[in-house]
Amino acid sequence: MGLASRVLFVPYRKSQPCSRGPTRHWSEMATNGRHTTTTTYVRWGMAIDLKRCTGCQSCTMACKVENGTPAGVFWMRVLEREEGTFPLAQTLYMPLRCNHCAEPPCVPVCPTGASYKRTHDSLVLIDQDKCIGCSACVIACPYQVRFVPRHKTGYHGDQFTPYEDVSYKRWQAGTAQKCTFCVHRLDQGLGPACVETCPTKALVYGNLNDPQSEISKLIRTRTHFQPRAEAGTDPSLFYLT
Amino acid sequence: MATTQQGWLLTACGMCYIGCGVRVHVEDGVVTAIEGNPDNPQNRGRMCAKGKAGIMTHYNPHRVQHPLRRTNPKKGLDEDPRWQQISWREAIDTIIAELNRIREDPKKLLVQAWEAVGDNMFWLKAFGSAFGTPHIMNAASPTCGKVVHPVEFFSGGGFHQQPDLHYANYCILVGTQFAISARGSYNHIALDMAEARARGMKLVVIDPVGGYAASKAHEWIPIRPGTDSALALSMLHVLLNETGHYDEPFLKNKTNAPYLAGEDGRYLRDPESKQPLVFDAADGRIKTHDDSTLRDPALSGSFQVDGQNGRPTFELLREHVANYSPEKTEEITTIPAATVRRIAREFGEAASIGSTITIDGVELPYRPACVDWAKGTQGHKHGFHQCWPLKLLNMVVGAVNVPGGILSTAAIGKHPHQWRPEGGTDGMLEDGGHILPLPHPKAFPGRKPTTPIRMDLGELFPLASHFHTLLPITTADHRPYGLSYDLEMLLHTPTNSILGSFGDITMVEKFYQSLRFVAGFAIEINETTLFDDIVLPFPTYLERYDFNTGSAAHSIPPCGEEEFHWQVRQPVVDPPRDLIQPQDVIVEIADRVGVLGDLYRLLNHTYIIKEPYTLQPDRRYPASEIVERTAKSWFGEDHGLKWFREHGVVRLSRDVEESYFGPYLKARLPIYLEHLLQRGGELKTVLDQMGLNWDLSDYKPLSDWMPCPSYHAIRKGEFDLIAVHFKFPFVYGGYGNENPWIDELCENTEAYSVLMNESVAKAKGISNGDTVWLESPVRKVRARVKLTQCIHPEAVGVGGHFGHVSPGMPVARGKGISFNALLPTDLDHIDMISTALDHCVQVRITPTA
Repeated sequence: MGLASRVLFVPYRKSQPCSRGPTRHWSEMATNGRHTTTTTYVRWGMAIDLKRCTGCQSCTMACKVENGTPAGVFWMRVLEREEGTFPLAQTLYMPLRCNHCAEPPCVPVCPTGASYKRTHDSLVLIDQDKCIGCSACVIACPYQVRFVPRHKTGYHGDQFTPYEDVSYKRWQAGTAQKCTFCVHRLDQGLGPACVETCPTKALVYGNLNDPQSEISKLIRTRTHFQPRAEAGTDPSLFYLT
Repeated sequence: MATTQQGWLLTACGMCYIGCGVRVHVEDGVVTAIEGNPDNPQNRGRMCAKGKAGIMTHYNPHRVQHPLRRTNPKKGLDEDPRWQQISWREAIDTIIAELNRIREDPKKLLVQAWEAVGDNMFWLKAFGSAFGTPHIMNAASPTCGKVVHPVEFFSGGGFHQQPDLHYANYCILVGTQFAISARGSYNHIALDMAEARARGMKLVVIDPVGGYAASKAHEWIPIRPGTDSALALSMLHVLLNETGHYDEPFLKNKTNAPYLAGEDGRYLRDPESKQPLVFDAADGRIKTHDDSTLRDPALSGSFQVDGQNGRPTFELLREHVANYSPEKTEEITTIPAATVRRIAREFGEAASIGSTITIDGVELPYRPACVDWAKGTQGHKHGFHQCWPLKLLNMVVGAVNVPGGILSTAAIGKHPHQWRPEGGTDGMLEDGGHILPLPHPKAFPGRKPTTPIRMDLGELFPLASHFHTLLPITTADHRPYGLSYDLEMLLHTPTNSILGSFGDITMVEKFYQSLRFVAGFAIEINETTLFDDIVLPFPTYLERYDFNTGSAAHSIPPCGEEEFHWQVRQPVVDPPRDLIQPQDVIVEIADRVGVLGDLYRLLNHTYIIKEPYTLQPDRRYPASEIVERTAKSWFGEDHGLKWFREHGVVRLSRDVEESYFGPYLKARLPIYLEHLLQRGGELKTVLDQMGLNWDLSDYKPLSDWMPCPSYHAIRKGEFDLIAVHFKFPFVYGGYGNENPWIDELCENTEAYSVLMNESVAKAKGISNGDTVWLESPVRKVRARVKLTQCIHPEAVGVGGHFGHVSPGMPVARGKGISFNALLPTDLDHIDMISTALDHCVQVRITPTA
């Protein structure tokens, strides 16, 4: 069974398409308490250009090697969905991952405070030392991008490759994990691994609070939508259409 | 040594034949990350999924780490070789004994050299030549470059072709997913394609399968498999006879369009100089094409020359393509006539014939429209003529090696060496350019056919670039060809040719069984390795030294205004203890059979190693030193391995001539293939002498659509579908099938399934995900079906290169099917010009019930 049929496909074509141009001025966003805490200076976001994405899955693989995720766990994946009827048919490719929502449903449901929003840049992260693996966040997330691998099993079974020996130390079995926006790279001034490798530059990350950032310009000038924005999550991912 | 190195190390990727620049992170001897090298102008820091997955290929727990000997003399895909670990001494001694056994008749050695990742290919080829065999197999698949190379050699000048994504406004892809799912310099052209589409270039994809490229195109036009030439000829008809879109000055002055052909189709020639004649409309006189007074060569008319009637070849082309009205083409291709007319007109208009552009102060013709094609159009019984009229579409509008048109890869360069295409016979392009002095096999004027000595019958294919597809046919029965010996020994690279390089797997299995002794390099025990007598462990790309790091540097780099680049590959970690660099193995073997001096001489030539760095016959050099010497010879004493470890890549700018050499080429290009008449006639004489009655209908100067056997089979009702092949961006050209990450990706995207049109499947009672029987004339296999609207109803799509059976590949084993294995392999399925194996095979699909 394919990935596309195993997970809920976000009906992105039908969700709130935005008209060209900004919906709100940046200064409003920066000071609007609903979207930002008072100390927020940066809000990391990503624009995903669906016209550029060719479904090559480089981002999927870049995420895997960067984060050492186990089999069946994809913090970043590209779904394929067919549209139309022969001969007017085509496949749509949609990179999918944590939306780092401004109003993340996964955070308030966490009983231990393991899921949290980092105040200075709005990233939604998990403190695995605090996580008890209850999966409340997995259920609360409308995007199905959280995973709780119960065991550390390598791709070749219990015998880890030398790479897995190193990379599997980055996470704990029985706790929730998901896209961190490559926070360990951001903190070193590097871009997320998926963005850096994308052969068509379909992924653009940046500070949504900076009107001069490339991402802000793209959102201003391109038609776009935020996935399931109707859920009130205010995702930080913007799909350019 | 490598083990002492830590942190980020610069080297080259080796997960496919391209060779991107990468930096690899090593912590305590463990590879923990691989990223694109942003300084490499080819991949510009980008990497594909295959490259990103490379760590798990490197750490394959099932890799071969010691020399092995088979103890089961019986060979077969189902036979356990019963490997026994042996010493290097025993392995080499055994190989030397076998080589010495055939030393007096070296042509009994076959070298299977395709391994474009690094030096192993050129080294094994050099060894084969030094040993004295002509049987050096240097192609990958049974369609690999079969037509594009000869066509490039005489009508472009490079190795491959590439749409100019920098300037094209209209790009038609036929049977290729160029720059979206496949092709050389993928990570470069993928971005260029995205940028071109973003700036408004119209992309039209013509393909039976509506795959990745079709999904990103403005328009997908499904076509019945094996009918591409009918479409191309019809588009030519529209351009030349309906809309009048053709570049008259270009055709007159840069092609053989004005050459006069007589009633027999051959050129009319000057009795003394033997040069082809043209009619100069400026003064009404017949002249040779190179006459200094020639001002206005005529493209139409009928002229008497010494009692013979001669007409410009352009007029013959125009009349010929008039046989292909869009209405007739609709019946053949299923593409509506109105669509054929529309895209021909759009293409002609987009070509902006007559316009110019100024680049760096140089005014050049500007033809921002091109047609590109590759595997899908090459893999046919009449593959050459399926492709050639597609190239002609570019030529009639003058869109060849000019901004916006179709470009020739790696054709010309001024640094670090000088190379360029050159004219020759009849004033026509004769010699393509190549940075390495590995001359292109002459496709014009071709070679004179002779009675074959080669087991692959290379002598009977006077225009072809490779011939290996014939081997399973001739080794099964070589008596009809007058060959009185057997190939007895095979040396091969780690490439899995049994699944990758031929067709009908039963015939291929017999071919490999017929070889008395096989020795090969191996990283994993793949299907080819199953037939080995001796297995030699091979380093992964992270453990290797290579001066050649893939085709992106020397054969298929980005075209147009792009930099030249060169990098080397050097280990980032140590190989397993019992592993020897393959160059060192070949040197040892060459030395012991007494051909080391010849091997070095050939390497000095192939790699252009100059004094004082040349390899001396009385010395033994380790692999690292040879790479070092070559690098210094090319780029100077300071550019050794240390420099490359520190800097990664040499970058050199290219000027306008190197970017767009069309206007600088001092030779004409063909629109009429007169030499096919000559070679066809010569071939018939040789075949008559041999008592062979081959169909030589392909040897004609103007193309026709000639159907594949599957076309007739469908009409006879024997089968109801035609299987075709397509490519996945995360599998294409790669060595990653045993990689568990790539395997997982294939599972998640259902890449292991075959594609079937939903309506057709439902009529057969087949549902999505069903397991079915897929049966070709030579093979019946179980396959999982994925139903889709994105495929022509008459086609079945088989992607990737799967279908592994080797126990040495436990991850890949039993997943997907091998497309090649389905292909009938006989002369009725071989293109008589290019040796391409027919890749559109009739099949029936039935429920397994």
